Amino acid sequence: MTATQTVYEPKFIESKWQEIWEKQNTFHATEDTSKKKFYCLEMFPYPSGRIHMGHVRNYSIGDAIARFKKMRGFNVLHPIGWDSFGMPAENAAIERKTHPAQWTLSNIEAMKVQFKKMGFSYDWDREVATCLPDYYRWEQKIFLEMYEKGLVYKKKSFVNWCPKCETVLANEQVEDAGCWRCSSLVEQKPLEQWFFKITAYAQELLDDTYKLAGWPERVLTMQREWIGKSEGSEIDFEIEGHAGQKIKVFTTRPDTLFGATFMSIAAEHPLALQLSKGTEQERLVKSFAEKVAKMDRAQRLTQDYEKEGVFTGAYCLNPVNGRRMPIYAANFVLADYGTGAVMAVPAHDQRDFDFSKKYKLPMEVVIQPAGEKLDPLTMKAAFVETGLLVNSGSFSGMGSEMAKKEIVKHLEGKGLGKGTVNFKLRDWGISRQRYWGTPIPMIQCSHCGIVPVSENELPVLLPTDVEFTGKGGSPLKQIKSFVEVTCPKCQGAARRETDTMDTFVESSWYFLRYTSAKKNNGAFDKEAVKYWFQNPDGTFGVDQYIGGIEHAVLHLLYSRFFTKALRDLGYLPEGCENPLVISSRRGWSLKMAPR
Amino acid sequence: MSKSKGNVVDPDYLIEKYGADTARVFSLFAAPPEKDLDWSDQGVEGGYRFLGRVYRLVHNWTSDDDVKEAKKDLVLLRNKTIKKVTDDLERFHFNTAISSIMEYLNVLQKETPKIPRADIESLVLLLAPFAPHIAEELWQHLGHQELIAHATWPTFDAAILNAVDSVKMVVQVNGVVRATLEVAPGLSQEEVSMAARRDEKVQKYLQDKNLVKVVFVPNRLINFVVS
Repeated sequence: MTATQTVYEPKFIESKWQEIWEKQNTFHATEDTSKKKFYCLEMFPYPSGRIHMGHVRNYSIGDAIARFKKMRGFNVLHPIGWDSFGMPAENAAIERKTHPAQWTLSNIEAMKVQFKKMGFSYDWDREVATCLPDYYRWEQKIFLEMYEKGLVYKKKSFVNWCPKCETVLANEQVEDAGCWRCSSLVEQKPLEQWFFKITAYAQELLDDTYKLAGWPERVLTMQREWIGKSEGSEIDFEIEGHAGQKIKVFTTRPDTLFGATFMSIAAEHPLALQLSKGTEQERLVKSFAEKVAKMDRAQRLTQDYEKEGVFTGAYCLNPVNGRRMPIYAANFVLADYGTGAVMAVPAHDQRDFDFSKKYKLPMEVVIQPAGEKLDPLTMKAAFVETGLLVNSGSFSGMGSEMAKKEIVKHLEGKGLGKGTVNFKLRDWGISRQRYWGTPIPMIQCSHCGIVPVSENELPVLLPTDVEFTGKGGSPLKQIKSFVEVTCPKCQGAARRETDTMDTFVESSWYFLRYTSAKKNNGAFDKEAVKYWFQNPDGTFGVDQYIGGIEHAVLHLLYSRFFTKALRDLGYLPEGCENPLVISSRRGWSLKMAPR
Repeated sequence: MSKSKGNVVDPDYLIEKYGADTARVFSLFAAPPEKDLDWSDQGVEGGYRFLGRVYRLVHNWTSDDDVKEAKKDLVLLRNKTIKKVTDDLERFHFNTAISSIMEYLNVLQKETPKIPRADIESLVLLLAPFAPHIAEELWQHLGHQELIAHATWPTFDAAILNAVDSVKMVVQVNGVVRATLEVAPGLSQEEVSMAARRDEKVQKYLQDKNLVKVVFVPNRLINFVVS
């Protein structure tokens, strides 16, 4: 028996056992088919510098589960890593004149010491840091394969732009319509951006929300709302005096088509300027578009926002009754949302109702509640429910649901529209005009256009000799040795892409990398994924996922998309569809402090 | 007592002053996972004292104290506690798991030094997921060569739990029935009171109230009179 210490001295005891665990590699996990596996996954931390009580609690929960399951005879995989790209490192570099890499790596070291002092049972041999080339090089490879498969594309889109910092801001970085750092008024600026085609999987991602056993209902509901599927129709409205030119709208309520009395288009819609050109409205439309460009996008979609618009001077024609509908540029329609145009039915849509009152536009009741008669002159609010059609030609008397189908059929017959499915989900813009992220492995050649970096040139390393001023866009743009390359196709002079990837890309597959964290000839090992993810019943998934619910929509949706793409690229074992399925009910209904 | 959101407290300070095991026990005991963690000095001190009591109990126990024929109610409590902690861990109810280990400790302390080895070992094993360092130390002290990390989780005997006759205890607050509890016969007022306070429905009526007195009829009823 050891010398008796009758006084409880945690300091002595704790360092003693931490040394023993480390020396014996007690928590190292190896694939062992004779034992049942248990994959205990915790959302990996951002290396901010020091752990806080939110970490202590989150990781104490994970550790209690991992140790408990180990004692219950499971072969437990309990890994940890660092979500180590991202803006805080760059800001620290600007403020403290240090390099983001140095700042990040020393933070990791400090937090690692703290984690070890907490006695967490991690398999440190599987430690992953996303800012290191041995991680991000595989992300670049996957990116190239996704590009090859048509899941990556570049297009112009509107971004939040801070004119003072000369950089793009994420929606979360816009505070009261101003830049979170300098409070300058944020503008909407069109910029060439890289996108992941998450919409190609919209239906599948939605369908899966009904199969994901073990996910909290709240998370699933949030994801369904984010995907936002709606069935409706696309309808073409001919523009008066512009032969052949049409405005296309998407609506979930074709049954109200006879009540469409005007048209709202996005202020930044190219049509707004085109239609008003040369008319006396031109100046008004132009200044309105400039004003709208400075508004906060998210705010533009909320209900309690002051709806404004200007007449473009042009009219379009209602395809079912020929009514002349004035075309308005409006601040509540977004150019890249749907078709950028909305048919306005003031009697049956509250927003259109308010707008028509404000600008004295006509209102026509076309849906009646059963046994009641609505009078447009006395209505205090729009009637937005379904009901019986009136004032709708041969469709009058039908119920809304039937009329939806019949009106779409009628339009299809005349080639004026068709039934469609619309998703709220947008493609995932992954471009960041930032230094501290995974370089996008693409080259712009003036001769050949966009050319991917050849695979044997990977990784595209982040250069280290960089100056951080916080101004002038991405610091990568200033580094000649990085930017100036020869085109892999024509060997002519070309420019390297200087955008880096959204850090959510890294967190979309780290849980796969853990299964074979040291693999140096691929992103991860298919067999190892099979062992650690496959459940006794043949399904795949981690056994526990612990982390904050605030990440529920974005991280989990992006991860689900990314693993679908990996599946289609042949990375996953057969049958592995949703690696983040969990078998436990309470996996991540946790609160965790912000970073 | 200072009370603030837990995140302003530096974990290093906690580790330095009380140790990592206390920090872990506190963060799991103070609130269920879906609730915010409120910082309290008292909570941390309580966790630290609890671990200290476990440490001393196990350290002062020697194999000579081992009793061959354990008391029936102690066997029952051991089985109950193992079942409770196991179920709670599966359900993420860490705070209630730790509180049943605390109750188990209270009972064992009263039996000192005549405690069966099975109880001493179960206590240490149940503590291992929450406070692994102290658990390893005590496990070694009890003569085990192998790490507790590699040890087998204790099991309970369902037959023992089923064999017990239980009684229905009516719980009242100010004379109004708020719950009925199924408990082992012969529990003391203190034990029933503790069990009743764990009941959510009862908790609701006792919260922020002053306890004036408790009426207790063994095996039948407990009534909390509050103002």
